Amino acid sequence: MRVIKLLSDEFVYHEQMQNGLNVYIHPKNNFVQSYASLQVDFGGRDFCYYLNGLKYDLPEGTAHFLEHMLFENNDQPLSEIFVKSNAEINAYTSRRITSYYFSCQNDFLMLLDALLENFVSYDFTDKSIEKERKIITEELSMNDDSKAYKAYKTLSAMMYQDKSIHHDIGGTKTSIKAIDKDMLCQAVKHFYHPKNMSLVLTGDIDVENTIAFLRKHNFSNTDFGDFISIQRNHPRRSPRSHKKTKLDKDLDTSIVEIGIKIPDEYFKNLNYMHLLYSNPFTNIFFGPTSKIYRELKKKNLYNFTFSTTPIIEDDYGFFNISIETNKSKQFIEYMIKALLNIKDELINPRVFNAYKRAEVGRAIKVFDDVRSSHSFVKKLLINAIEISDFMSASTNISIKDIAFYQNFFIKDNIFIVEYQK
Amino acid sequence: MKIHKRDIPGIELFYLPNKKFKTIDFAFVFTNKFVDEELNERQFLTEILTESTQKYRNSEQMSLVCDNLYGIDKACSYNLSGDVGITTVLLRCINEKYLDEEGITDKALNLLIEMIYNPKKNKGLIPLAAVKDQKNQTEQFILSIKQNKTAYAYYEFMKHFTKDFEDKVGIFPRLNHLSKVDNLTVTKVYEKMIKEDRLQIFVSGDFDFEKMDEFFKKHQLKTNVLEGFEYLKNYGKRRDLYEVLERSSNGQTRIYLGYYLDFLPKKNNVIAMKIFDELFGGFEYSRLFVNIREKLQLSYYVYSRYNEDNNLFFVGLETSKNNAKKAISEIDSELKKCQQGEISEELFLQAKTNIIKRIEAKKDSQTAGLIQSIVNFLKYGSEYSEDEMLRDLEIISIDDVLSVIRRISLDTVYIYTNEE
Repeated sequence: MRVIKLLSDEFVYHEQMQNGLNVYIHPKNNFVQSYASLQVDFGGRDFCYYLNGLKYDLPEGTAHFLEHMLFENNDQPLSEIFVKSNAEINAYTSRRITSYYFSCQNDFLMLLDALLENFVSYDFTDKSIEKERKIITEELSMNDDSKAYKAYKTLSAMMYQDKSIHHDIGGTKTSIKAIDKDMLCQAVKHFYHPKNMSLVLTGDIDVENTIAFLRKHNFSNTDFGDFISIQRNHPRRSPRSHKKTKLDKDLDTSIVEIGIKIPDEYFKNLNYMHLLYSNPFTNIFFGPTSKIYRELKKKNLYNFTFSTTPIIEDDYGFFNISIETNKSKQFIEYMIKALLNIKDELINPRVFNAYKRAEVGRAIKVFDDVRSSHSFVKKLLINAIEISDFMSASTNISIKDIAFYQNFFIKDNIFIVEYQK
Repeated sequence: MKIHKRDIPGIELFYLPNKKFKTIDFAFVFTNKFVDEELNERQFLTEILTESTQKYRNSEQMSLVCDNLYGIDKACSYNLSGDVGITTVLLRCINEKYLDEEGITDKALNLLIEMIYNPKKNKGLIPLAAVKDQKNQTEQFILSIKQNKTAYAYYEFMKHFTKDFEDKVGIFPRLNHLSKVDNLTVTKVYEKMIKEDRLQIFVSGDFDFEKMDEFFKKHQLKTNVLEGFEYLKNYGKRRDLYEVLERSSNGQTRIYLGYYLDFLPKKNNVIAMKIFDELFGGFEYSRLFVNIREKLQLSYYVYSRYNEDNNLFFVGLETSKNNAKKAISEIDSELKKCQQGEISEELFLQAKTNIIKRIEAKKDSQTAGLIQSIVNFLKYGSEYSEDEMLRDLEIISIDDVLSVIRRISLDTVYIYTNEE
């Protein structure tokens, strides 16, 4: 068993089961809640993939549809046993993964047993497929009238001519009509293999007992056959434009979405670097101590909807800035100039050092809470980042490390969407 | 968490010690009778006080000092409970036992004192620029709500639902008073908060009691004992069914059903109502979820909500236009069945246990535990321990729930639908 140190008194234990499932246990004694999540490397982007050079297609939204179906697997409602134990179970599908997770105060091993048992064999009835199709249709409608969501999607479509990035993870009402039992079974066969999954457990857990329990479990002892590594190759064409304006009479306030692209070539095996450095960069150049924040306030262009977020995945990333404002023209005009000036700005060492001290505090606070500890470990695993490397690197960030991003703030990497009222 | 009252003349100081967490939480709680005309100012102050002080003159300086103290978290909120307006200023810092540096706790507390008692002022007044900024933010807030159809539907529903007592429920912003707000009115309300509001201070974490006492003694803070208002009130009164239909250009239909509760929010009624809220629309095996979503597939999202602070209860859902009428009728049918006694023992116990688990889960968060302790302390006048909460929950029976829900009647139907 491998022991990974997070802090002086926080450790994660890693063990690989005989069938290839990777298990990570983060014991946190004296906490009431325990958390478990099972991740499958299958998400919204996997409507097209390759096995041994052969191309396979699935309707868009299959991963999300399958997530719903796994709650009705073998015609057994998965929630029932969890609700009876007063545990909460849920799941979500992102572009990259599907995650099934629960939290509980009692019966942890019994519930873990129930969770894993659900993934030993698969059968879906036509009745439950139709039922979930209706529910998902309602779910997909929830974003129909969200202009903010549409503006963001327009930005990502403009920046990346790659459907796997900007298409809805849940698919469309049309694409989900094409999902049937055969397709769900295909997805299960190719993706729901222990070698393509990971299990993260956090809470007042006995590590040795839990590993022994997992080794004996039906899931660990089931032969899922050989796992064929999945290749993904989503064609990505060059962007055709850098600015889009849409007039919308239904808007009460204009919406601006800006993206500053990190070029694709910087995503080969550099994912952990982006996760480490993109947040401090965003904080220093757009946070309350930054020149941009100060000037936006001075010019009365700032309001509480202003937000800046690094969007980082394994194969793409960008800095996203958004705001809802009726001064969209002035905001855009100012931001273009300010963004182009970033590459020549010097990072204030005083601000940087203060940020580093805050990061020490944030790391301590993350592990003060079971849920945030669990999310933190899970995030690193989903991004295939070695936890110990990340922890030691995070204390040694230098100004030079984050200054790296300044070079990307050039006209070719800046994209703007304006939904004008 | 156990509450220890400290014996320091002039202030009400309480410690909630624990060794489980690596942080120390401070909460300064100001309470006074709610005055509707002050709502905007009170809300503005929650932002103004945390953004800058006389010493840290802008958000940049404030941000730097918080970062340098290992990432202090600060927050300020204004809420209502019954008749009482409550301003809570929270600050969380890392316990210096876990750092290679001393004096962090003292510096953090000094910052908190600075934020509350030394706000940035120009010639004795809260700066006009700060107030104007808050007004601009409020205007943007209103526009942003309008744009977000789900938020807009909820906001409009609450306006209609509480229109007969809107001056008592504190929904921000109070638009009819907004134009009168300026730096004079904000300064006046600030001074009232400091000079007249009752102040209670709570500290949670692992620290030396005597050292902490010394800090507070040094600052000579003052509380004002106030009486004559209630945390537990009921404002609604029975009226004819009030129906509102609003249209947008497209999108889902949002429906809210507001109910009149013909009982006072006394402890037992509140607990019974909370259990009903849970079993009716609070989790995935609740009546609404099972019937409206799973059985009939009328909605992806349907829930009920009970607010014990102002004794309001409603159901919310999103559905397609074609399903709206059926959804309302089915919800009505579910409520009637419950009122007729069709609540299984299993569902009742499940709901109760869910609430118990949620109370117990607060032990995992120092801040959540602190806030719960404060709320209970304010409402019930003394420590209302977790054991007491659980005991009070245990003794509620299905009959207690029935006796409360039989006094529920539909009051407001709000539908926000599309023109298609």
